[in-house]
Formats: sequence, C-alpha cells, structure tokens
Amino acid sequence: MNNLENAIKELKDLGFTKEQVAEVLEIAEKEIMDVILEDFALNADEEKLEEYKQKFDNAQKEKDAEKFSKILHEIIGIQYGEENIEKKKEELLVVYLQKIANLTKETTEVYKKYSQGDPEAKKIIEETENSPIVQHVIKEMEKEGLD
Amino acid sequence: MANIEILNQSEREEGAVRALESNEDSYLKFKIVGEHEEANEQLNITEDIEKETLDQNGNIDFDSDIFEERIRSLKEQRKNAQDNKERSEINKVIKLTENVRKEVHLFGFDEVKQNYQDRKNKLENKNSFLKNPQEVQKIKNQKLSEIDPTGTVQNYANIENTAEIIDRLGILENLEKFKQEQYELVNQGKHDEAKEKYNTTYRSAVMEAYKLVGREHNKTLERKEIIDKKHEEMVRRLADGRTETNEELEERKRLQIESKTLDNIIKAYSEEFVQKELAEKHNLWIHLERNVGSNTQGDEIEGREDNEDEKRKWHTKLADIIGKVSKTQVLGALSGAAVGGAVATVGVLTGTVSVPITVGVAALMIYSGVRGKEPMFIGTKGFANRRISKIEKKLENDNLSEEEITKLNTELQKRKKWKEDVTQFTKAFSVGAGGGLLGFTGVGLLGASLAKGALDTAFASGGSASAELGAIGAGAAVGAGIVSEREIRDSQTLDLIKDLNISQEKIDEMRRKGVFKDEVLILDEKRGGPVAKIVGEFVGSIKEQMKLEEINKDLFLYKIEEIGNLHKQNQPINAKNMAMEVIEASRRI
Repeated sequence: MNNLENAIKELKDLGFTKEQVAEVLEIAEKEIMDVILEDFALNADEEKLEEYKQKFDNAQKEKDAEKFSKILHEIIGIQYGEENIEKKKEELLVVYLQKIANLTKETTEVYKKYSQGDPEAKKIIEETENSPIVQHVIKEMEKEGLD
Repeated sequence: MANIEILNQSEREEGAVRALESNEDSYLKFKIVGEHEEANEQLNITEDIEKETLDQNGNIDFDSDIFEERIRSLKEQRKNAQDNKERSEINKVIKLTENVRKEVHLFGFDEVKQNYQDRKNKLENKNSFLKNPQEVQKIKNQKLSEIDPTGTVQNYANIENTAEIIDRLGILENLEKFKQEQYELVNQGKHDEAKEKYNTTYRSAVMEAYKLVGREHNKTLERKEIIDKKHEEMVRRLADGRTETNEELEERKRLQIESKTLDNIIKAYSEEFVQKELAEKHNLWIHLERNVGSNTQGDEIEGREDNEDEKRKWHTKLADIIGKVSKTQVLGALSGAAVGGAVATVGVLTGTVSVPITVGVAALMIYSGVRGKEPMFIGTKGFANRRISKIEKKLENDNLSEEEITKLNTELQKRKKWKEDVTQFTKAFSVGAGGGLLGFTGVGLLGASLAKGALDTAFASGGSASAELGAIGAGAAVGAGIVSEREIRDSQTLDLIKDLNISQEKIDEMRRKGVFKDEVLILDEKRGGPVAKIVGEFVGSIKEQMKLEEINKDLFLYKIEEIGNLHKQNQPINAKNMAMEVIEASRRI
C-alpha cells in the first residue's frame, strides 16, 4: 500500500466515510493548488510570473478548464521538475490528508478530556465556545445544514 | 529703545523667514493630506507673520553706535543669565546683532534696507506660491512620486485623491521605525523596555492610524451615501417617466463613476492598511520568537529558568496580539472563498468524532491554533499560508536595512497579489468546469487517477467508488465550492447580457468595475442564495412582458447593481417592481 492509500486508510480508520474522504479530497485539491501557486508566486522569476499570469488570463478568457489544468501542471513541473509532477502532487496530498487525520485525532482527544471532566480542557472549551469566531463558524455550519 | 526695536525687528524678520519655511511645510502637508481647514489656519499664521514683518518696514532707524551698545547690554544679560538655555538664547541674539552690524558696516544702510526688501519679496513670493493651487498640486505630485515611484498604490486602488494614502504611508513609516527600535531593544536584551514601549508607543501609534483611517473612511462613506442617493433619485425619476436632458444624463454618468471611485477608496482603506499591519506584526513575531531568550549571539542568557518564565509570559502577550491577526485571517477566510471548504471540513471532523457541534468546533479551534499557537486555520488556508518563501526567509535576516525590508515587503506583497489574482482564475474553474484540475477527485480533465485509485483501494469493500466519485465530482460543479457557484451565476448573468447584445467591451468594463463580482455575486455566498433568486425573479418578470432586445440596457444593468447594493445594505428588494420599472422606462425611452 503506498503512502496515499495509507493516508486515506488512516482517515477511514478514524471513521471517515467514503463520501467524507471524497469531500476532504475536494478541499485538499483547492488547498494544494494554493500551495503550488504560492510556491510559484514566491519563488519563480518575475518573467515567468508574468508569462504565466498571461497564460492564466488567456485560459480565463477562453473559459478553458483544460488549459488551466495544463498550466498548473506546467507550473508544478517548473518548480519541482518535470519528472516529479505526479510524485509532488501525491506528496502534497499525503501531507494534507495526514494533517486532517492529526487534527481529527487532536480534536477527539481534547473532546475526550472535556467529556471526562478535565478542568483545564473544560475551562478552555467553555471559554472558546463563547468566542465570536466559534459562533461565526457555528452559524456558517447551520447555514450549510450541518449539525 | 530704538536699538532694541531694530534688533527685535531683525529677529522677527529672520524668525519670520524661518517660521514661514517651516510654516510652508506644514501648509503643504495639511493640503496634501486633504486637511484643508488646518492648512488654511497655517496660511493665516503665515499672513500674520508677513504682516507683522511688513509693519516694521519704514521704522528702521539704523545707527552704528547702537549696535555696540546693544551688544554690550546683551553680554551683560548673558553674564547674569540663570541657566544655559537663557544663555544660549542671548548668544543667538548677540550673533544676530553682530551680523546686522557687520552688514551695515560693509554695505551701508541702503544696502541693508535693500536686503530687507529682498527678503520681504521672498515672503510675498512664498505666500503667492502657497496660494497657487497648481503649484501646490505640483509639489504634491512630486511628493507622491517620491513615496510611490512605481505608482503601485495609486494603481492599486485607482484612487483619484491619493492624499489619504500618503498620510497612511506616513504613519506606516512610523510603525516601521518603531519595529526597528523594538528589534534593537530585544537584541540588546532590554526586554522590559521593549515591552513597555510596545504597550505604549506602538499601541498609540496604531490607534492614531486607525483613528485617522477611520475618520477618512467615514468621510468617504458619507460622501458615497450622498452620491448614491443622488444617483438613485435620478434613476427613479427616469423610471417614473421623466425625460432626461443631456446634462442630466451626463450628471447621472458622473455620479455613477464617482460612486465606483469611492468604492475603490473604501476598499483601499481597509485592504492596504490591513495588509501592511499584518505584515508588520508578522515580522515582529518572527524576530521576537527567535530572539527572546537568547542574546544577539544566540547564547543562553544567565538565569535560564527566570528567562524561560519571562519568555513564556512574553509569548503569551504576543500570542494575544498574533491571535488578533489569526482571528482576522480566520474571519476573512470564513467570509471569503474558504467558507465552503472550512465548514465542510469542520462538518466532516465533528461528524466523525460525534461531538456536540459547539464543543467540537471549540476543540478544533483550540488545536488549530487560534489560542496562543502559531496562526493556522482549521484544515484550510493554513496549509498554504504557513509555507516560508525565499523572500520571507530573507526578511528574517536581522542585518537588513529599513530600505531593504521595505523593498522585500513590497516584493512580497506584489507576489502575493499575483497569487491572489491567479487563484481567482483557477478556483473558478477547479470545480465549476467539472472539478479536479489537479486530478485528485477523479473527474479532472488531466491525470484523473491519482486519488481515485487510492480511494478505490482504501475503500475496496465499498464497491463502486469511481462511480460515486464521478457523481461527487459532477455534483461538485454546483455544490462544493462557492467560487464555482459564483462563476456559474456569473455565466448565467453573462449569457443574459449577451442575449441583450451588450458588447464584450461593455461586459469587460463592468467586470473591471466589479458589477458582477462585487455588487451581485460575491454577496451571495450560497448557491441559489437570495441575490441569485432575486436576479432570477427580476429577469423572469421582464421576460414575461417584454422581448429582451426591447429592454433599455443601461437601466437593466443599473438595476442589477442596485439589487446588489440593496442586498448589501440589508434593504428589502422587490424584484417584480424593479422589473416593472425597467419595463415601463424602456417603453418610454
């Protein structure tokens, strides 16, 4: 089993359903695209940046998703080497999925402490529950129909 | 007394020139930042100085002996002076007197009078200069090009009145200086002093900046409200059947343009300022993180235990500050493009661990770093944002000059802007065009097998994974990402506009102005959300009664914008009535 399969299996073992994993993959793609674009933006030569801005711009005008996809893969190739495109994509995806798994484990852990009455965990959670950020997230989740 | 009169006058004269020079700077400064009242006050002071100086003209009674007498008397005064300050003041007057005496001896009274006249003319010229708005504008432009040589700031916001930007840059420069000072203090191990200054100077500087930006921001908002009301009134009159004269048409167009310009200014107030603030705090954090607890050579400081405690306290304090940054980022992410993803992730996680939602989110927040750890977001955004670039690494170098830091920060901002622009392009297509530009979801157009294969394997017992993924991918086109939903709605609006035979140039122009993205679509965060529904109802009602080609295009587009604006202000929107207004007005026109 390769790393990617292992990472997905870990999520599965944590209780993620196939649909939930697919949803995470969906989000992961956006996140990884962010990473790729950010790496390129911060590290590529100015000329290359300009060239690729133009390419994106053209693809946008033509509303051509295939072109977008091709440009993104070109960018991965420029940054990490042509031969490493698939490897790099997989690597980034694995790291992301592992982060999600860790986050889930940590969340479960803090909840466990909370439900066992750990005073520190209880205090922090109760304080955080009232924070505007959490309230905002809850509101967004309710709007999404999640409960 | 005559000699004293002369000397006092000389002093006044010299002082007047000096004061005027300084006064001119103040006047320009106030003019440039748009504080016209203060500028005029400065001008009044200038006029007072001038008047006082000129009043003395004609009363000059030069007599060589009186200089000697005056100098002797001053020296006597100096001898009896109470302190150094007084002595120094008397020295200045003695020097001035000696100069006047020298001038008189060398050139004679007439020459000195001529010098005086020259200086008087200089004063007049200065005043004339100050009263000339074109000259002031020239200086203002020069100063602008010094501060913003590439025109980035101006282009960024497309602001006609850049005065506010200059002012803000001035304040930010102060913050930059403050940051350097903090670095030095920490490097010297003067943590208490650094903290003290942070709590006093920095906060008050930030407060000052916020106050100024807030004040100007409010002025802009007020102005925009007035403009929008006027514009709205003109359109309403038009819809009521009143024929519009050419002048009124021009005025209506002008108001619309001004409204958009003000929008840009409003946007610039928040974005540019906040960006710089965040960068400033970020750099401070990185530096202190590395330096508190060690001296400049990186050796351990004596009294490690105490220092650890100190370090912890200091970190807690900084965490509060950074916490504010991360909260801003979190809120920004939640209200922006990440909302779909963020909520979905939280949903997945809380669903998986079966915890009550509020507790789940709270727990998630705690472990995602909102409280006291490195800023990071709940499974989204933080993944990319925590990566360190070459430029950021360079910025961590302690030996950088202020100029180098500013240059690097500018480059960083420029590159981040690149990423932001490109992300807008790509995300709009990542799901909207069928999902999976990178091929993870199995429905991408290129390299579709990566994650699909792994998912198939990991869920081997689950059966038709690829079919389900296909369905998810297709559904994702409308369901999983708000960006794509915007794009879809945008396309629908565009199709309709194309049906109206509105030129591509006009569409591009409106896109640039943000009519589609900013006014209508960004407000609408959910598929089938209120704005999309209202626009649908509005268009549907028009179509019921009128052929599209008969619609007045300007009115139609204006109403689309108006829907966005009303929604933004939480005002009730009656789509059918709006449609009727367009229909009736179109028929009349």
